[in-house]
Amino acid sequence: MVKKIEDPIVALNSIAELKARSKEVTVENRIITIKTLGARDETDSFVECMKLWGQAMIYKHKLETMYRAITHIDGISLEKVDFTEKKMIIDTWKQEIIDQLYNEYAILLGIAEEFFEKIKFTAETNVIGAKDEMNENKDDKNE
Amino acid sequence: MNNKFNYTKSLIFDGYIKTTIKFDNFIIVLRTLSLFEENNVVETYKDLSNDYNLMAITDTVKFAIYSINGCKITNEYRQKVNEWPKQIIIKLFDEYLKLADTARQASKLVTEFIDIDESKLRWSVVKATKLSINSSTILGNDFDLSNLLFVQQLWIYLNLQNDLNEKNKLDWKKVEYTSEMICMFINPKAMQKIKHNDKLNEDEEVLQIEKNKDEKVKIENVEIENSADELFDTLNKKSNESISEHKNRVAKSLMKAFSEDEHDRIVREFEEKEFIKELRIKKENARRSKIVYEKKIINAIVIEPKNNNLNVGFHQSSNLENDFENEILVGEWIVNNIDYSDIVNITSFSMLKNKNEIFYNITNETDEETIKYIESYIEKENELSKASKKIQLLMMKQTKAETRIDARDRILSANKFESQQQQMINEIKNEN
Repeated sequence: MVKKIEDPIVALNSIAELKARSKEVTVENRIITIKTLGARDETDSFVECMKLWGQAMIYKHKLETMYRAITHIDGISLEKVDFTEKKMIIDTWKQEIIDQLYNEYAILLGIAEEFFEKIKFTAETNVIGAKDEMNENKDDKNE
Repeated sequence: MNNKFNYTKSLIFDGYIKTTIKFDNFIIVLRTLSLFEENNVVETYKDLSNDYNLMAITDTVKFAIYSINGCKITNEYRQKVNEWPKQIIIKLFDEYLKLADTARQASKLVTEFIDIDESKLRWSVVKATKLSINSSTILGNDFDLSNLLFVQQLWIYLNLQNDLNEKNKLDWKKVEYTSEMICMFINPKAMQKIKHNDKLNEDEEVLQIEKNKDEKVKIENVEIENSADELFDTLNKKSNESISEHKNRVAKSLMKAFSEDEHDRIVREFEEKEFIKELRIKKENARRSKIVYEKKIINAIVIEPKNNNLNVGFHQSSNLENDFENEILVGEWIVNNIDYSDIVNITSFSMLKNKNEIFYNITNETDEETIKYIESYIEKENELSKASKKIQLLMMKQTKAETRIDARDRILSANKFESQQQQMINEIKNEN
């Protein structure tokens, strides 16, 4: 069932927040929420790591991913925390924590990949565009 | 709504075409990018490494999103797309590429599109109301093309060119009119003849165009009438038809097929006239030859050869007379010792139904009557040759006049004075 959305932010967020993208991981009695990266973060972390090789690159990738993947700690949002500050704090974390979080992230990524693979896309090029099925459905109901 | 110009129309008048994508519980409408947006993406990523490819396609999708579940997405919110998972973005970008390809194909149709009525109408409205396309304003006859898509620019350019052609045609007509007026003043008769010929040519062209149109329509509708088909159809007996009815029908069709129509009549009359003319010319030539021979006989110097058989270098009267009198011809198409067989055997004449009747009438015509007709033939031919000479002369004069008029127009366009052009017209008049 397709529902009409009125607010553009809600519309854009509804795709950004598609299910199977986040997970809660318990680390030393803390609940850390991680979320798969968006296109921008994915690119940024990738670009940061490409200048390194071997183990250094793997370790850097784990860190770069975690800087961006951790969204909440104990339910408190980190959205408004400055990115540099966030980086400095995470850099102080033990390597084991980062490894554990990254493992969970990799599992989540696999689930997300599977989910997106299953999504069926149908496309229809047309001139009236918005084609607004919503409107069409409305019209049908009115009739 | 489904015609081949739908996408072209949408590209020109809306500035984009759209595609509707459905997945999960979402309906996302993507549109093609504007020139500014396309340039923006290209400019941003052209110098960056391939590591940024994902961002390049994210930016493309960002600009391409038109609506989500009926909610129109405006520019201030597009940044949110950066947070979308790459899997969705890649899939949307694939659909965008297909849409862009459709747009490219539609752009190629713009040269055909400008000839259809809808395009002409829209162009008139754009010109008359000073409307804008994609917020690009019209400045006089010039558009600010910077924000327009290539296809829109092309549509405007082609329409401007068409307008220019029309204007040039109009200008040329004015020049033609002026030169005609001058020629009319100089030689009204010849000018009338030229005008008449032009009118005939124009009518013929119009008729030909209409004929071609009709033929095209007939071919398209598969409605080609063929009398032979009709005749052959008639030969087949219908299931509910008696033998006598069938015979009657066949007889009627045959009569119809053999009867003479308008075209046949015109061709027959022309061939008859030509046949009569050729017979008369032959008859008259024979008569004149006979006179020449007779004169020769009269004027011949009679030299009695002496016994020494001296060669005097020219015919003697006795031989001439013998030659003429000895040639007595016999044949079906020979009358008064004149052989008409070469004319009668010409295929088009030999097919004439009343060939014998015409032949009898003409060959038995009095010499006075024949001479009268021959004179009329000569007169007609002379008139025709005089007219063609006059036309040639007039054309030469026209060329001179045209040169002058061109020069005048050049002066006019350079904002020179009225008196100068008046002086030139006077010069042309005086010259002729």
